[in-house]
Amino acid sequence: MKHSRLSPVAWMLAVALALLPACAAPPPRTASESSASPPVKLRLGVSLTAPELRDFETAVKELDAAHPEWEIALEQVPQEGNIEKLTANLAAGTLPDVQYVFNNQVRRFIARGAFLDLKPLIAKYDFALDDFFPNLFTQFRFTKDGIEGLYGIPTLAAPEIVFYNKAMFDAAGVPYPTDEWTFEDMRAAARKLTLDKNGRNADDPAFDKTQVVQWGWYGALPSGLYSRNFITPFDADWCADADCMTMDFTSPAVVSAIRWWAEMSIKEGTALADTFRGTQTGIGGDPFIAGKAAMSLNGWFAIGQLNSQGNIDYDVVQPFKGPGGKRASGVSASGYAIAATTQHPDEAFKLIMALSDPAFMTRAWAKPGHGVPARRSIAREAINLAHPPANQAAAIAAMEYGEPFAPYTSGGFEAYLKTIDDFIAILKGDKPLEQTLAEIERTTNDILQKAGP
Amino acid sequence: MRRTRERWFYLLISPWLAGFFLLQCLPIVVGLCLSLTDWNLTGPLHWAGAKHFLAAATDPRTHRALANTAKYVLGSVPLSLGLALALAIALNRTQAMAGNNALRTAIFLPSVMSGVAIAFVWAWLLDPRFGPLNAALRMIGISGPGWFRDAGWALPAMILLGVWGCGGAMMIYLAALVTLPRELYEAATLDGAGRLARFRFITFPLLSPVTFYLIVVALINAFQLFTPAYVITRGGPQGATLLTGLHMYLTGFQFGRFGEASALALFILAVTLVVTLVQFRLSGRWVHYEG
Repeated sequence: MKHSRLSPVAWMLAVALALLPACAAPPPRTASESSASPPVKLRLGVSLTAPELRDFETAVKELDAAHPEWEIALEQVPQEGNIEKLTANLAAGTLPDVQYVFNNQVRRFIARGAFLDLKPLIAKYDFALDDFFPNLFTQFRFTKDGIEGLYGIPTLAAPEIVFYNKAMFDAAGVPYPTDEWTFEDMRAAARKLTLDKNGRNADDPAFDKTQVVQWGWYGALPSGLYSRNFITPFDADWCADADCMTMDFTSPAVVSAIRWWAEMSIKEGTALADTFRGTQTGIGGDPFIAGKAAMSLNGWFAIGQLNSQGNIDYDVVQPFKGPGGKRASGVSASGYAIAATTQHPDEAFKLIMALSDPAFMTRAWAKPGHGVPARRSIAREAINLAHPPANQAAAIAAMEYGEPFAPYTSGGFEAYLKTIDDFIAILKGDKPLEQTLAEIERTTNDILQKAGP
Repeated sequence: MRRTRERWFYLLISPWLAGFFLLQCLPIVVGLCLSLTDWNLTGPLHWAGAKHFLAAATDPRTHRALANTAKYVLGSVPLSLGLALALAIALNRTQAMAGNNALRTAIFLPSVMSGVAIAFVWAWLLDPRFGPLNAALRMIGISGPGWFRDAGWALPAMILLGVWGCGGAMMIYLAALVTLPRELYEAATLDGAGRLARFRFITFPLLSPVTFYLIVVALINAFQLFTPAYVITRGGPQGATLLTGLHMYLTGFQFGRFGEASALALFILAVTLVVTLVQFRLSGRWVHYEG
């Protein structure tokens, strides 16, 4: 009898291949099947900061205890690795039943069919959305085959507001900013608050802008093409369509607004060109939190870090107005989505409803270092005057006109990453403004169009 | 009897074989499939031809990553192997010295430490403001560089970190050194050869197979370097530490373009293969095998 020498190897390969399907996720069950099998194990994937996780975990344990029909498994992923984890889970078909998502990242996953359209479940359970801040739904809306779906329910938001260092203002003899300040007021104050190593401010003729040790304003366009809210108060907009799938960096209004910021950085030396990487300050991260800048436009969650740090006496005001009185705030938000592969879509939605309940949201969020709850009725719960800042109402006001960071479509992050160096080069004066903006426009539109919605 | 022995052989190595096929061969095959198709992670695969290879080859970031990796290889491989050899010779000569074993262990230790832990330690050591290295430089009146935060210094800092892990190569050199025949050194000494001549004409040629092996391995490792670039700089500042491994990872997991990332992986595999083959071809000129 003839035996092949490779037959054991072939046998093992066959066994391995036969086992592979077992690794794949089973197909989703129908709603009627899933509702018939309590208690249901529900995986809840989150990506929270340490202070958020502490309170959220406690609240979820209480929720779990109050709902014997569920067995909730909380899965935390550090925010730095969130996209990678979601991508790997999606590819493996192992996304948690309910996934906490950031709305500036969520589109690429919705576009790939990662999450369920919640509209049928919202209708089935008569879940009211009118209490939520409407702008927070923007990135959760997605049109597939001509039908607009809603793929997430917002839960938490952090509007950008102006933070200012009171000690630096006191030392410079500059009055504190108010909710009525314009960007021109900020620019004038920044000149007095920017100091070189000899202690001279930017209004002093002997001021050395190459030796700045304290900046009046933290960054010219600190987040590159995510700094849209630095441009819109100047009646310019580099998003050329509703979803920001096409960007315009060459129109006269946009060029003029960017030049305004570039002059602050290059000519006056009062705003950082490279805000977060520490190449100018020597300290990575936010220059305001590091005590190197007198003012910044920062997310609301920064108060958690500032308060736990405790070394900066600060307050906040609403974002400054542009020449025409317009103001803008970028809002980073997060919410819940249901994995398309879940076996328990109804239970998963019921869990989202429980997580979105005003009482739960007040219990889990509304603490220093958290965002603002996404519901209007409880947004003010985020205000706690037992801790700084005093003017916390500025954040609630900003929630009304704040808009999500754009571009948020599938190629947004790649476009940001591939253009941020050019923005920094413009703001340092290393590259010509208009020519480089034209290059940024080409690069960005190429990426956004290729990546799709 | 022979057939029974064969069956036992395959049965006993089957755990390794299963791991080899599932964890090594299968990903390469899947990578090849992905590089030739479009896949959105959930739906079916669509044939894409050479599109991803063209996209990867024409992406300026690929060129940047290749240039950075070449600079890293040229900086780290000679430095780390040179230092490893110098340390091995020094430790070999001082075997009787108290503390020799402790010293060996200390130098070898970074080779077995977690890459992430090492990256964090070096990020702190070279922090421009709070790091002890710049603090020491400030004490002698020197304003230290921005290291990982400075586009001009980030890659040299990465090379420095790579050289620190030379302990593994040192141990291999040390093991080779103790096997070198003493009589050759005695004969050379009788002929009046000094230390430098003995190193040049005996030690280095006899160690050349080991050096060759270490160069091949170091080059392959350099092309795959990922952890410090990911943990400390994520390729920045201004793309200064964007290495091929990180570029591939970002393309796949950050930008969601798995086809292009797989094409990059195969391209890097091909480059590594060519570089290794060239080394083998050139090795005949300088590698001396006994007998």
